[in-house]
Amino acid sequence: MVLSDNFIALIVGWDGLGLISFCLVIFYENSQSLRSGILTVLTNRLGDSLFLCSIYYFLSIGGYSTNYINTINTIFVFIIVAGRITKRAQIPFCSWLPAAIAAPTPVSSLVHSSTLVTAGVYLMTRYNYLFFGHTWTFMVFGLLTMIISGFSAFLETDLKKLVAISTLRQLGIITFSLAAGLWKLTLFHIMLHSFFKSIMFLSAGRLILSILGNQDFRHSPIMLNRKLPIILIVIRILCLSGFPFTLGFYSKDLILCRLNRTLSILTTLMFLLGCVATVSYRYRYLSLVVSLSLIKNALLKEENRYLFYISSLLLFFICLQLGPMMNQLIPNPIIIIRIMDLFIGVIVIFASFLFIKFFPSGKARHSVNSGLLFMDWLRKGGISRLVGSFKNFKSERTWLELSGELQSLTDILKKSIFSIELNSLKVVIMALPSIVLFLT
Amino acid sequence: MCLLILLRFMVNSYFLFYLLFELVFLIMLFYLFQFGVKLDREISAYYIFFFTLSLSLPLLVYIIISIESIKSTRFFRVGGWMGYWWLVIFLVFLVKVPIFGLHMWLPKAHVEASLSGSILLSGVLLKVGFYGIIRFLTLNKLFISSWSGYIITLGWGRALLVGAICLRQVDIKAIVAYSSIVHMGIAISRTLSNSSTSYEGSLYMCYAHGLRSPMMFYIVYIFYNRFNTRRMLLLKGGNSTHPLITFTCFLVILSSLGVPPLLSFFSEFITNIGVIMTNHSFVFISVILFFVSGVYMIYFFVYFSHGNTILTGIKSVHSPDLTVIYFMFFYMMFLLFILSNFSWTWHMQLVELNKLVFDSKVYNPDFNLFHWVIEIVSLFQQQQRYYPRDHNFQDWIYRLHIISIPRFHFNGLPVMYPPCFFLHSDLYHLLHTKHFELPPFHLHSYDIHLVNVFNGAVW
Repeated sequence: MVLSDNFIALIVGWDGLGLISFCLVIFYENSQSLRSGILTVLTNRLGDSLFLCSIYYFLSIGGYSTNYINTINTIFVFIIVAGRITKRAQIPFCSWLPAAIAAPTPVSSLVHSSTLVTAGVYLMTRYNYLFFGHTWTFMVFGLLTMIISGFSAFLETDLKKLVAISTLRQLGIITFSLAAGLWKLTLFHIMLHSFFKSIMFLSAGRLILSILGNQDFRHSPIMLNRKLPIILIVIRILCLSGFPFTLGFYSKDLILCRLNRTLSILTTLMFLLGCVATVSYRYRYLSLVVSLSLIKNALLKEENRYLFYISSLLLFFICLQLGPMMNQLIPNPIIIIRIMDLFIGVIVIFASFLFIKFFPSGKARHSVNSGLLFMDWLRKGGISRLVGSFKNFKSERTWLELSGELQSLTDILKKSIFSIELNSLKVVIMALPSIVLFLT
Repeated sequence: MCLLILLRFMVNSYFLFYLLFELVFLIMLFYLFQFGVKLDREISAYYIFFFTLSLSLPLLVYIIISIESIKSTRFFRVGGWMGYWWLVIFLVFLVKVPIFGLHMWLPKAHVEASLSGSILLSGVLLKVGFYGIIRFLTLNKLFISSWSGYIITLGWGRALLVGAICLRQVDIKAIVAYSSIVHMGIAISRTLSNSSTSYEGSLYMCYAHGLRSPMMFYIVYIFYNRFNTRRMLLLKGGNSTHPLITFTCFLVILSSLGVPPLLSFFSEFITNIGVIMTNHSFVFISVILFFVSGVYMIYFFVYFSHGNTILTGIKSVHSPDLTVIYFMFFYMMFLLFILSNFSWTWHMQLVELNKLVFDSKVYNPDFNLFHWVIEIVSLFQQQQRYYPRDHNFQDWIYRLHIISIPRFHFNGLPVMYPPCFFLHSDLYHLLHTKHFELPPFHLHSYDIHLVNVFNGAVW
């Protein structure tokens, strides 16, 4: 998809990504994975159809080479943006991404961190210049995704789902920074993001394996011989928070610095609200993971232990050491941090501590935690309800069998040979004008 | 039967055309009665008879009229002003293809027919009806040009309705039958949509459908053999009991979903280009259709592939069956794959040749073989080339009437066209419109090498 330079070759990758992810999500044969697989594939199908729609538009204005597009219509901005945000799971279509954790953990690390979600981001960064006057269309989506996913991550208890929601939140930031015009930094951030997201999934999968498949991380113990996943999680959280000279620092701090200068007050406030939610969920996660009681677990045979160690340590090394080298990839790595930016960071951290302290607990908390707040409508049987609504669709019977005339005809035919010609003629004569009417 | 169909493509007169057309369907009736198992096949045979055979009588009447008036039944002699006969005559073929509204016989026939019967019906007989439409399209171009908007919108609407019906089926064979109604409905509505590109694409679509739906019927047959049922509620766990066959089914369904490197995608793509060039608002409808056809196909696949098997009496898989499956499957997929490349390269080469000849720097797929004819004729007549390329209005008109005859009114009455409709009428068009200047170089040129690179990558 990235290498192709015309839209026909591009849609091969675009369409294939969705179908392959469908096959991977329905790997386990249970209803949960099937439901989330259908959700994934239908959302991606919607994205594919909207993408096709945009290709038709590009064809009608010139050609389907990806390199020569320079004009765009206002209506088609909406179509293209809608097509892209299905694949990158922005707010109206975001429910498939947490649902897709029904896949096996390595697969979900692949899908969430590096392949599927970045397909939409890639296209948006490639055609960022097309949306020059229309950036508000996806700035809204990005902000909403960021805030809502941040809050729902704060309330989530499932370990894997939390990682998925944090991916959502990252994508919200990416969309937002694209809308602010920082496409180079966004591309850079995607590249770095895939590293620390995959390390997160690996460590989360390891933890889940060590508690025998229980994904509720309030129950997750620290085994004495399971320190590595915890260390990895801590490192990754530091990376995500942009701790100085880790991997996240180089992209994220730049984005934050630039954003505060270019945006209006309202958007900045919204963005800071999203940041507050994010910081609070991270610290909750960190505290829960680190300060758990030590519980001895059942003995678990560790297959592929060294494979895990090798891959995770490689990623660990990348996250800690490779930041400065990666920083060379963007042309202008100028970090100018004003005192104001630092001040904003202090405010965000302070606000997030307040948020953690004064957030309602108990029932109110559970009422809020109904799965991505309200964006879960599609997952809770929305599709099956939609399909079920067609069960009352009976037009085919009523006006095509001509009120049962053909059925009665067969009875008549059985009764007597005599009446064959007469009745059939009648039926034909009666049928013809009505069918003509329906046709026209 | 195949001989009859072959003859039908060779025949030069409408009367023989009609005779062979009906004979094929009579043989289909025989198939149903002979090889069917259930008692319900009687009713389905009545359905076939009354929907297809009885509705084709108006064609016979029209042929008799044309014999009386112009003393000939040759294809190229019949034509001109047909009144509203064209509606009735189209009805004859639209029943055969079936479109929504006249389709009730098709699912019934498929459900009752044996494997060979349903393969013949879906693979060949629906295309026979389609061929009839193409034949009569040349006669009715005048009327189609004014009615195409209605035809397209009704076609989309019908396809959507059938997509909705597919979602509430319980018989997997009925779902495959209804899906073929959807695809053929799309093909028809695009054939009649006044654009030569979508006409070309709909031919590809028919070909893809003719390869794909027999495969699906065969897979349905295999499952019926193994599980002794076709109910969606009982057929479960195909993934765990028959993983290879389910995988094959998934690949066939990919073709039905319109996944890119296959012919079904390219056919849909090419048709949509043509339709959208006539009217931009059809983009949205095509998007909805693409989505809906995906929904019911995924529904179809997921229901029998997933879950735990309820049934206990599962027969073992015989190896000859599997060889048949894989032979057929690989052959068909190979064809679909290769033809997809060929279709696109043919299409693009046509466009490229047209660019060379017409000095056009714009990707315009509506320059077609037909315009070569115009070009050659205009060379002979020492005429200037016809290039109506005013951007907004004139170009739109040009695209709308690209393969059809525009209506000219003389004293308020439509002009009678000479019987040789195709060339003459467009010469008429050529002679009676102003000559425009060559288009300015205003958009980016399309590079043919990109397509070749893509094909090379696929290969």
